[in-house]
Amino acid sequence: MKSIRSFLRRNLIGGVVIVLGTAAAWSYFDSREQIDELFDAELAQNARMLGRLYQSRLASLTPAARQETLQQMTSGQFSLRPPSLSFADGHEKSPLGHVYEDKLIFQMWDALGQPLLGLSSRSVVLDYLPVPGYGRQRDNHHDWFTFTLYFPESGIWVTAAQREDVRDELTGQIALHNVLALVVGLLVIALLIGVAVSRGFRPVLRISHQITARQPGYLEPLDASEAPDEIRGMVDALNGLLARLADTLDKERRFTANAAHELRTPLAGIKVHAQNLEADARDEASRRSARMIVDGVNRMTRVVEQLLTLSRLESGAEAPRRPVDLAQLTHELARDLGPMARQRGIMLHVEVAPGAQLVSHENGLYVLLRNLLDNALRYTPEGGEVHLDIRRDDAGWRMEVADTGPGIPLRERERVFERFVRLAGQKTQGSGLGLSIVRELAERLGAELALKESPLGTPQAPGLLVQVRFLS
Amino acid sequence: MRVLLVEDDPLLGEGVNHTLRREGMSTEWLKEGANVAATLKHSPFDVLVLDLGLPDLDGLQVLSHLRRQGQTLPVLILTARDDISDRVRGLDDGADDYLVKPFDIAELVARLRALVRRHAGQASGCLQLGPLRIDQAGRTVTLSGSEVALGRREFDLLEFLLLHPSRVFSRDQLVEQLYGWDGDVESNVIEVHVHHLRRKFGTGVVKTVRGVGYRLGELT
Repeated sequence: MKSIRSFLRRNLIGGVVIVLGTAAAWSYFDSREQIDELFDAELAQNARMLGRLYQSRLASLTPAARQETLQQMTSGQFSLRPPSLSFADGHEKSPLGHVYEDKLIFQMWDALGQPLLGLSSRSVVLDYLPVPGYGRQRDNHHDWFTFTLYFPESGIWVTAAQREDVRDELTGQIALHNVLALVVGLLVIALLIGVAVSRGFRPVLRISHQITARQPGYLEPLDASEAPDEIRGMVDALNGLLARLADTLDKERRFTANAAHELRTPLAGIKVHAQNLEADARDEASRRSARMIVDGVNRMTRVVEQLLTLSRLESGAEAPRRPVDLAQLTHELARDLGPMARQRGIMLHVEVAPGAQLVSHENGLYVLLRNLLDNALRYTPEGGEVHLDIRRDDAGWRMEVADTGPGIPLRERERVFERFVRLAGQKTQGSGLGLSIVRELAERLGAELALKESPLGTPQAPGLLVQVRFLS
Repeated sequence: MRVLLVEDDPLLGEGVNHTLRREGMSTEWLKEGANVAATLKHSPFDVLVLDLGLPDLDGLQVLSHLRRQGQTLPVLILTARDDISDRVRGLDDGADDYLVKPFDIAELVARLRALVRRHAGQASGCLQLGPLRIDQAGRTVTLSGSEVALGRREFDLLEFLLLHPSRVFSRDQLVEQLYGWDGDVESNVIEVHVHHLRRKFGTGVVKTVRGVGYRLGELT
């Protein structure tokens, strides 16, 4: 079942159509039959009444008058012709008659088949068929229902007839009028079912829309106030799940934040004391030891940062996406990494297209670029250059970090993204986590990552270009 | 220059305190956020170094409380939060600068000096009064380009007066600035420093405001 709504609509409307359709058909044919019978009875009644009228009229005459009347009749003088009437448009009646008059006819014959009194239509005269009972006749154009009666006392035959198409039209119309109500009812019911099903499912659709329109990190409970009882349980369960998920992510977020604080503060303390020691020491050996402590703290800080970043990435505890001001972000990056660049004698050059904005996870983007710049600064020898270039082309935003470091040989380029992998023969200190974090972040942010030849490279220092593309 | 340090961690607090004093700043070190407002009300400081992760109050709460009270002194926050939005929020809440732990002490000192200089309306890298120039980082003073040797307290006094060019300070306030509250000093110590400064730069460099104290003068 793909959609409960279409299922209900289809089945309810289908069911109603079948039931009401059957009822309508039955009603139609039944009505026709009843009306047919009524007409048949009327035919018989007409024939009988005419015969009796004629008989009583002849019986009251003297034999001579009877003879004369009969002669008049056989000469056709009593044959009636329907009057030529005119009717207003769309009307079947007038004070003088009815359109259907010439479609109801009768004829009398004497025992020899001589036509006596009759009312014929303009086109037809009934044939003399001395068979009593119901029957049918056909003229050039039409079928006629007939009823024939024989009066033995006066020796006459009477046939009353009704044109078939007229009777069909009448019975059909009467029966149809009965059915019409059912058909209109059917349409109204179908419409009502459609509306009721749509309205009934509206709250379900609204909740479904609430869920699908969500951003991945948005874990606020669903609005259950409109949820009908049938899905209230489901919505409540879903809200419970969301709450537990939010709680877990919140704990995770708090944990990494706390861990960051708990680790960074003592590291900061050690570093400050070591640098004080370096400043206060009188002899070179102590100063050197102090510098080593500072180096150790720096390495440890970096590993702590990277592990926390990885743990945050794996827990998915990322803030929701929002528009990130890339100029502001780059400003922070330059501020954070400027001292390192100065210290290492490297020119850090940053260029951002004006008005740059990208909808993304701000912190993820920041950590990604920071890792790339940090790597570039770390591996580029003194006097080198590191460029960060952020620009937009037809495909979307492109962020490139280029350096004048030793580069990465082609065959090693895939391997460096694995965790704790460090290339052989490297003097620079590092945990081997930087690029694996970068790759994980790029995946999470929906960016494409590529290692290319640095435009700043020389044969001695080939350099590396790391390209991050956000395809829009 | 006088620094109020608010840091609950004894390891870090002691280290920073030592650094700042070695760099010639006079410091007060608070371990709780609750006393910050009262301390600032009681005596003037040039800059506040505020740790965000305090045990009693969130550093940002302390900061916004100060700013609501109309406190304008420059504030540098120390944060262990590596989330970029947390840091920027600190700036939005009224901090003038921030450092992420762990930091280089040289950077801390340079940022504090820059903050105080900017706050005093001196945009360039050094403090100036006519032909007199003070290089805060190098702790050297030149008069018309030639270096003048100054004692440590003389330098501090001159720097302090240059950072607050239009204010008048009582003798006690200057003692507090130079030696802190626990300074157990001779009662005429300020007069001695002022005398030395006048001898080296001319009598106009420090003005005596009768019955009140001293303020920065002019050099011609």
